[in-house]
Parts: sequence; C-alpha cells; structure tokens
Amino acid sequence: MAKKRSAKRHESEAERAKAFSRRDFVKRGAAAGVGAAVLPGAALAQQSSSDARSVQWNYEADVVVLGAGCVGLLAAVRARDLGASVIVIEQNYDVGGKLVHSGGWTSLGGGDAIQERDRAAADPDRLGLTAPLVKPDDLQDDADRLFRDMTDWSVVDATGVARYRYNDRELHRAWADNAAKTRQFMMDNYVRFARIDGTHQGGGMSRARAARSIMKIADRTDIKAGTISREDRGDPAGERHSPFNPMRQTPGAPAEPLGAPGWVYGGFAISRSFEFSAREKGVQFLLNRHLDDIVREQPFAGRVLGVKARYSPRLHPQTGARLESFWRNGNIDDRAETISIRARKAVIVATGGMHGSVPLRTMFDPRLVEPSIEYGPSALIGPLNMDGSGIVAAMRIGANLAGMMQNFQHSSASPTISSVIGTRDPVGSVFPGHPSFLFARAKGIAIGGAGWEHAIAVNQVGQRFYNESAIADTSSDAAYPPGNDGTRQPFVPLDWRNASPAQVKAQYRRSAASDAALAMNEGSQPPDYTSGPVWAIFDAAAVARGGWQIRYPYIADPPDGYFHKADTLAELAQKVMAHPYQKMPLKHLEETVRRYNEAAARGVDADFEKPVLHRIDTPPFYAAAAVVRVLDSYGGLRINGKTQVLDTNGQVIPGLYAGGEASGGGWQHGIGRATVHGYIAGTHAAQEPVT
Amino acid sequence: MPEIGAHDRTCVVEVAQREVDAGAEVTVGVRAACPHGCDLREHRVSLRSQDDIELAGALLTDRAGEAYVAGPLTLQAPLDVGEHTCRVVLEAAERDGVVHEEISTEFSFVARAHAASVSAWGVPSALAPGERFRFAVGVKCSAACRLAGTPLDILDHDGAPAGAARLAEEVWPGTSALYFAEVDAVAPGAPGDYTWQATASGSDSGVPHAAGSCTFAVRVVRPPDHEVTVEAVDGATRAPIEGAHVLAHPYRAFIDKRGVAKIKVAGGRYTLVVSGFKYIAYRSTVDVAGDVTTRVELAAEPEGQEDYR
Repeated sequence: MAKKRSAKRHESEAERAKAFSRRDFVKRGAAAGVGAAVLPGAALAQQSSSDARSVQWNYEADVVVLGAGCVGLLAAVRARDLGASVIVIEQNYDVGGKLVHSGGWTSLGGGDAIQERDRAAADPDRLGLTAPLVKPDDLQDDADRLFRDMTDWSVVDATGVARYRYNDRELHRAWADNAAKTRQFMMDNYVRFARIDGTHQGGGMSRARAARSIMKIADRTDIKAGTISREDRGDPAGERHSPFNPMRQTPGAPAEPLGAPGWVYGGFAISRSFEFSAREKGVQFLLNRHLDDIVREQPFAGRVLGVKARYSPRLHPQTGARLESFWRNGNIDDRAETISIRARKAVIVATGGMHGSVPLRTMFDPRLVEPSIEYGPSALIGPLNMDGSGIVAAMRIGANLAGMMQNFQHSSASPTISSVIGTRDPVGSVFPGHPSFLFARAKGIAIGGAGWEHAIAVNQVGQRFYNESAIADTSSDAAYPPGNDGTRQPFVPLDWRNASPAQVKAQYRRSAASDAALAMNEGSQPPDYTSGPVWAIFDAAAVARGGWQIRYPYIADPPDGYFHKADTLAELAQKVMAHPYQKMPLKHLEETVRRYNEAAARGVDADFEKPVLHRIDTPPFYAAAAVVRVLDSYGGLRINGKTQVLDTNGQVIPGLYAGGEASGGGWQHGIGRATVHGYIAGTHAAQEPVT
Repeated sequence: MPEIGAHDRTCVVEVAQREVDAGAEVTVGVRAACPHGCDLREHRVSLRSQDDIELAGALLTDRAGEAYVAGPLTLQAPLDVGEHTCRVVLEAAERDGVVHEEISTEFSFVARAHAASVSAWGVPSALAPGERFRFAVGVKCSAACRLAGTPLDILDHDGAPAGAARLAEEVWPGTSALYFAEVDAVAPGAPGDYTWQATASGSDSGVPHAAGSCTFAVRVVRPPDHEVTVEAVDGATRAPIEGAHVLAHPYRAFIDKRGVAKIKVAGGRYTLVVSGFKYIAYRSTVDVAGDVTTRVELAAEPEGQEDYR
C-alpha cells in the first residue's frame, strides 16, 4: 500500500537525517523537508468512521507531538530513542516555547544524578564546578521521600495556599518515580547543570532538588561540548540579544554564584540542547503550524488517529518576510493552508496552557477577564501562544479536565502588576537582536519592587488603588529551604503545626494589588466593564534617582503607546490614549498627584499607607504602562500516571497523551513538571501499537 | 440618471473643536448631499469669513454613505477672544443640464486666550524659620508659545508678595515648551505648614494669554540642633549603596559614594527609613536627643517574578 511505502520511505530518510554533522547545526543549514513522510494524494488512508474516513493525510509518523516546548521536545526525543518516528508540530516559527527563555531551574530529585553528584562534592564531567552549595544531608533523596513531599498536606505558604495538599496522587507518584530518570535523560542529551541551589516552586520542602541548566562561554557554540559563543549568549553591555537565546541578560558569568564560574544559565541550555539532539536523531519539525483538530476514529470513541493543523507563519512587521527558525535541518516546509498528519501510535498534546484564550481562561478564573492581561512571553511565542488549542481539541473528542481551580491560587498563574514598565512585553523583556523584539518593541524599564517607592500606580482614570510599595509583595514558592514564603522552620513533614492558624496568621502576606488594579473604575463600560491598563506615573526627579533608562531600546522608538512623556500632567493624561486598551484620558491624574504630593509633604499617606513618598512635581512627567500579567497556566487535560488523557468517564482515550501546562492535576511549577511529563509521555507513546 | 432641472443640495458642517486657542487652527469638515442622488464630486466648497473673504476652499471628493465630503478644511482662529462666525458656501454647479444653486450655512467657534499651566518644584521638604531657599516655577502655554520674559509672582500664605522672577529664555531640560524661572524666597518665621501660590501674568497684547497659577506646600520646622549620620551598605557585599534614600520625615538625604548621609534634625522621635533601588527598605524608630550615628545593612530584593526561575 502506498501508505506503507510512504512510511518506509519516511523512516529511511529519517535515518539519513541522523547523519547530519554538527556543522549543519552551527551553520544553521536549511535542509527543510528531509525525511518528511509525504503521502501522495491517491494514497489516502481509509479510516473506519465516516468522520475519520474523509481525512486526507498529508504526513504520517508513529508519534505526533503537538508543541515544541519543554514537554514536546523531551517527549519527541524520548519516543525517537525508543524507535518511533516523530513529527513535532509547532505554531511558532522556532522551537523552544517558553522553555527557551526561562531560567532553566530544573527541580527534579528522588536521588537524581545531580543530587548525588553534589552530595559527593564531585565534578565527574569536569565542568569546573566549585564546592556544592547545599549540605549533603539536604541532598539525600529517594522517590518515596519525593512523593511524600509532593503530597504533603501540611505545607501552607505566605498567601495561605496549601501548595501540595491536593496534588493528584497518581500523577505525582509517577512523577516522583520518573524524576531521577528524567535528570539522567536530560544529561544524556547534552544538558549540563550547575550546583543544586534550592528547590523550585512546588518541588517539595525537605530536600534541595533544583539546579540551573548551563552553557560555558567560549568562542563558538557547540552543543555537544556545552559551549555558547559570546554572540549567541547575547551582549547585555551592548544591549543585544541573539536569536539563539532570548533569556533576559545578566552581565558577566551569572552561573558563577551557582558553582559554575564561566558559565551562563537559562532554559535555552535545555531547549537548544534537546532541539539539537532531536534534529540529530531524525525528529522532524512542522513549524508555523497551529493545531486545529485532533482526529479520532469516532467523535467520542476509538483511537486517536492524527491531527489537522493550519499554516500560522509569523511575519516580520516591517518587511513582511516569514520568520525562520534558528536551525532548519529537519524542518518540513509546507505552506498549504491546512494539512493533516497521521499518528500511527499516538498524539502527545504539549501545546502549553490556556491563558491566551479569554473564554477558556475565565471558565474557572474570573480574574482573567481583563483583555489587556499579558500572558507568557507572547512576543516570543506569538499571538497563538497558550491559546489552549490542545486542550480544546482534546475536549472536542471527549477529554476531561482536571485541576482547573489550581490556576486560581497559584502565584505564577495569578495576575501580577509588572515592575518592568513601559513595554507590552515585561515577561520577555528582550533587547534587539532576537526576533521577538520586533513585536515587543521595547525592553522596558526594570524598576524592581523598590522602584515603586518613586512612582505611583494609577488606573485608567488616573486614580491610585493600592500601596505601590506592596505591589510586588507576592510570592509563594513554599519549597526547600524551610522558612521560605511563610513555611515553618524548623520543618517537620506532615506536621499539623505547619498549617496551624497561628503559623498562617504570623506569615500571611498576600498582596491584593492586582485585584485592586483589576477592579472596575469610571472607565469600565458595558458589556464587559473591563478595568483598562495600569500606569506608573513618575517625574524627572525619580528618573534621576533611579538612573532609569528613558531611551530606546528600553522604550519603543517610534512610540507604541506604552510609554509617554509630557511637560505637564494635564498633557500626560491625554497622551495615554495612544495605549490600545485605554478608553479615556487619565481624568483624575492631576488631582491624584496633587493629593499625593500633599501626603508626601505631611509624611503620611492616609489613602494607602505607603511608607515612603516622594513628591511628583519635577517636569517632565512620565506615564509607563505597568502591564498586569500572568506567567503560567495550571489546570488542563486530565491525565493518568502514564500521561494518557482520560475522558469524562475516566477512561483512557487510546493514543492520546498530554503533559505540562496542557494538563491538570497539580500545583507543581515549571521545568521539573514539564520535563518529566515529556519523558513519561514519550516513553509510553512509543510503546503504543501501530494502527 | 438625475432629473434635469434645479436641485437643492444639503450641507452639514462639522467643527472639530467648539473652543480653540486664539490663532490656532480650526478644523472643519463638510458633508453635502443631493436628494436626487447626484454625484457631487468636484463641487467646490468655500469657507468664508463674515466679511465674505475666502479663508479656505476644497472640492468634494470622497463619498460617505449618501453624502460627499470635502476636507478637512482648516482656518486660523482670530486672535480676538470670543465667538466667531463663518460660512461654508457650497458653490453653484451645473453638469449635464442639472443645476445646483449655491447654498451656504453658518457655523461658529470660540477663540479663547491661551491657558497657562503653572507648576512649582524643588521646594525643600523642611525649612527652618526664616531660612532662605530657592525653587523653580515653570509655565507651559496651551499652544506651546514662547513665554520667555513672562513675569512671575509668588504670594505667601497671607497673599503677600514672597518673590518675583521672569521666565528664562530656555525651556526646562527635557521638556518641549515649559519655560521656567528660579525663584529665591524666605521661609515664614514660625514652624507650620503653609500654602503658597505662584502666578504667571496674563497678556492681552498680541496673542492673548490668560493668567495661570498653582499652589505649593512650604513646611517650616524647628531649627535643627542635632545631626543624624546614616551609613548604608549592601548586606552581602558590604559595598556602599550610593543613592539610597534616607528619610526621617520631614528630613531627607541621599547616601553618598562613601556610603554616608548626614541630616540635621530637630530633637525628637523619628521613623528612620533607608531605601535603595533593588533593596528591601530598612525601618526603625530613632530617638534623637543628640548626634546619632547608625549603620544599616540593606538586603537585596528577593528574586522576584520579574526574573526567570
């Protein structure tokens, strides 16, 4: 049959693709389309149901991975390692998702190889590490301890949330059992780690489990050697990013305090390493493809057969040229409007969260109704970032959801007023040089939490709404070491005293600043009554005190509506109308500042009890958008310990897997969660029967 | 095909702003229509003064629904403050045997004196009785006119003259048209919170400018008799935190490059706050009965959500 012939051709070509030299990667060779399992039009796969029978498959592979972020990359490589042919579909122009710009802090444990390395004060890979940062006893770990930590009912953080209490037990047992394996899997795919320096959000209280992924600064980028060129690293002094690495820049060798002098850290060290490995091993990438539908044998029954995806290129805003991935070998460049991809074994949903979809994100979290809320690094990953496409597509074939309320109480999923101001993209905050800057337009001015002492925050009608010095006062890591974020010290696992009212009362310090910012105001109009943007208002004296950079690339040139300067407050109040979500001038701004200046003269802020006030009276005056944003998404598809997606009857949907932010069931944060999910999904998907 | 004969057109005038600064541009939009559906493109619109002098002219060009639009047309508002009336004339036109007679409609707008936005800054946060001090006053014209030489008057809390100056030739740094003057004054003779006023004179000659004013706070406290010395260093590196802010309300100072700030205060109890960018603020109560020296180690802000984790 033509279908099988195509499959054979695909696999042989995929084998050839494995022969790529590293030179191909470093030179960003454009070997687009190599190994694609293109099915001729006459060789349409015949399916058992009327719905599925009408599908004309354009490509096929054993495993189809939806999303090239943290879950997707690990799942793809793991499945490929186990002999499956793999196609990864990604809506963005490049690989990496949120992972590529993250901090790379990977919290695993269970006695993983890095814990053991540091416990022995060893440096077996001769990375040049300095002494461990954590005492050996705090590194001795095993899967049982990790599972107990991940489900410890007693831990309550500084925002009053029991961070581990209702983590799904089956999921986290599986997660704990696979954490150490995942660490080794990452190390086997060129990822290096600095010394363990703590534990990430939701990674447990009793042991240190998190280390940063690192690359060593050198003359050239060499994934196998673990080195990164100065150009690819970026140049914070020269205010440049590279297309390789969009992580926020820190001068020098920022991994030095982490026991790795001469190294830099960041999620790019995982993302680019796994991307390199995936391409090297013959994984193929259909970039610029947005998932639209998952095809199942029957609408709500039978196996999952494949997916439909539409062309979603991102175009250079000035030239109109399509943005291209950093590496191109292994890419399938198909620009047809919609294509169908057959999955002979399984589909893995790794599409990320849902905060890009207002209807979806507000199903269980009413705070997110405000359309101006920024979600994730959308300039980096594009307007379709985190739009919940994988979740919705799976729901349409009968998938159930889980843990949706866990979105509501997670600090990373909660709206927060950014202290990077004057940009629409405070999460990415990149310099020019990375393509995402074309969309971000400005890096923003990082004033930090302390910077709010020198500014006021006003809503879209120019009124203050909270003590600005408490705007950034929200954190809820509740992870090792004890004492962080309100947790009890000394810490005894499962001890009721960790959750006693006295303990919670003594430590509670949740900021309601974002709730106040999102409240209705005079500018809130029907039918949605949205609250509009938040503005940081300050004067020339604040700029001088803070040394804030009021220039490109920290602010946009030409202006983009997120930063304004005026000779008078009255003019400033009008200028903000250029912001896309601003509905009216800052009607009360002059009166607000007058009142604030009076309070500064008295030394008492009777309105909001801000402890230190500086008059705002020295021209020129500034208004910088302080974007309300969420970082991560919790709640999603219900999965079991194998990451198989379950339907509303609790039954496995055959051939469908999910992980990371596309799945629900826990409060665990970040890379640790996603990497293990990817590892588990890739393992089991590759072992599915061929259909 | 329109019926041959004389047709009456309708004309609507839209003025962008009812009130404008004297001498500023007035933007006028014109929409005209013919009930017979005639194509009015190329029909001429004339904008005329009450003396029938043409101020601007344009042709109807674009279609907007049933109407045709011209413009926008602009005219310069007179320098005379008050209401002014003009006419829009839709000139007669004949095409293919169809005659459109001339019609006109009046519209009016108000020319107002330019407004002055006045602000004051740089007044010390605490003054001793009778202390001489210097501060700045700035004035911005609503039409961004050059205001150099404009007289300023400072009135104290009793309305008595407390200072005078003329606006300088240059604008305040960083602004486009904020003219300023530095003013010398003397603080009131007794402790207290006072409200003073800065006034910029108006002018009727040439371009009319309205007067403008603002109020500002003047705080007078007992003469300082002690000195508080604050040393502020990074808690981890022990490096001086130059630029950190020291507050013992109403007294303020900034840490210098040696890591030290000195403030002269009157005896009493103060909440001492030391705060720096990227640092957690330090706060304590200090009883000042003599010279006081304190060393503060500030902790860096924790890695927040702005940083990648």
